[in-house]
Amino acid sequence: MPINLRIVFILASFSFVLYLIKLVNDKKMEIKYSLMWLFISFSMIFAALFPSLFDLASKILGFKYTSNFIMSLGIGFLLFISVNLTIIVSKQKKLIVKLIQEVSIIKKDGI
Amino acid sequence: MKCILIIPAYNEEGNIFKVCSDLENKGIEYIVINDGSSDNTEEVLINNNFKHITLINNLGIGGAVQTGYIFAKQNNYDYAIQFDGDGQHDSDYIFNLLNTIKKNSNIGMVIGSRFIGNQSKFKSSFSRRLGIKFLSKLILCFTKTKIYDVTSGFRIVNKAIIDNFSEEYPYDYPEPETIVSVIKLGYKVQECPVSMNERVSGESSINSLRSLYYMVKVSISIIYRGLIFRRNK
Repeated sequence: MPINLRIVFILASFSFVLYLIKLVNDKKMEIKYSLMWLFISFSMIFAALFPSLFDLASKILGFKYTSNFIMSLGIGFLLFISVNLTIIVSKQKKLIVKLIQEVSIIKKDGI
Repeated sequence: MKCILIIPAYNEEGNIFKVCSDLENKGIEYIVINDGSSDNTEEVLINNNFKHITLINNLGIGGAVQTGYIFAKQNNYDYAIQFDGDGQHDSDYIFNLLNTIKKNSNIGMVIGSRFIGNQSKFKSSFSRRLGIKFLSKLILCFTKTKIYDVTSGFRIVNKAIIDNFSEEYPYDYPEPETIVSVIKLGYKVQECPVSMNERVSGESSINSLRSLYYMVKVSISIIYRGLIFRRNK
């Protein structure tokens, strides 16, 4: 990986981590959910520091270019996070429905 | 000075009667938070007229305890003590905690600690103690305060902390992280020696399979908490 790209990766990941910390401190994101994004940032930093590992892995897997491999990894991560978000949303829907039902029953008793 | 015990309980049908009767006999104010138990905890609470709030859905330890803090704030309590519903905490130590926190209005939290003083007969597994030591060092690193028993749920807080916790409280594994929160709010955290009992019946909600995830998650949350700047009181 050319040196300028590596620098971009490291700077971008580092800024992202700072942004995540800010989001958590402003209570805009749960610590638990920020873990997934933290993992991606550290993977990016790892890729920037050890690009030869990724060259090797991409050759073994049959990719023609390492950048294709990294893009695929990126898509894979985003897919994983999207699925996780869908699961979280489903759980929240259940809880909201239950809340509405229980509150409605309490209202019936005139409170 | 009004003080209340917050007792989170999830499936504690075997223990909750003993815990509450003991407190009723001693005239200590408490509120049990039934965290959506699926066993007969609710029946035990109703049949014996034990004071409780029943959550319509399980929220986990963080959500349940926070409900207790909201209750404490709404009813104007000056101090709140977290107390386990499984019988592991000994109510005789309540006055030690209360007296320690009253010494100085700058003390935000006093933790009942198993690891200072020689009274404790409580034994923990080696890996658990190692984990606790690591978290203790991590907290020391970010707050310059040395706490030995970072996972103890037996703790008392003052009114300012009750207000803060009722608005913001971690949902998972809150014990170590909240130590850092209190210090970042500008208050002191102290420890007070206590001894705890073995669990009499039921299952603990932490098992060794989850330990690694716990360690990573708690460490990261301590680091996040430790990195914020000190807010004004």
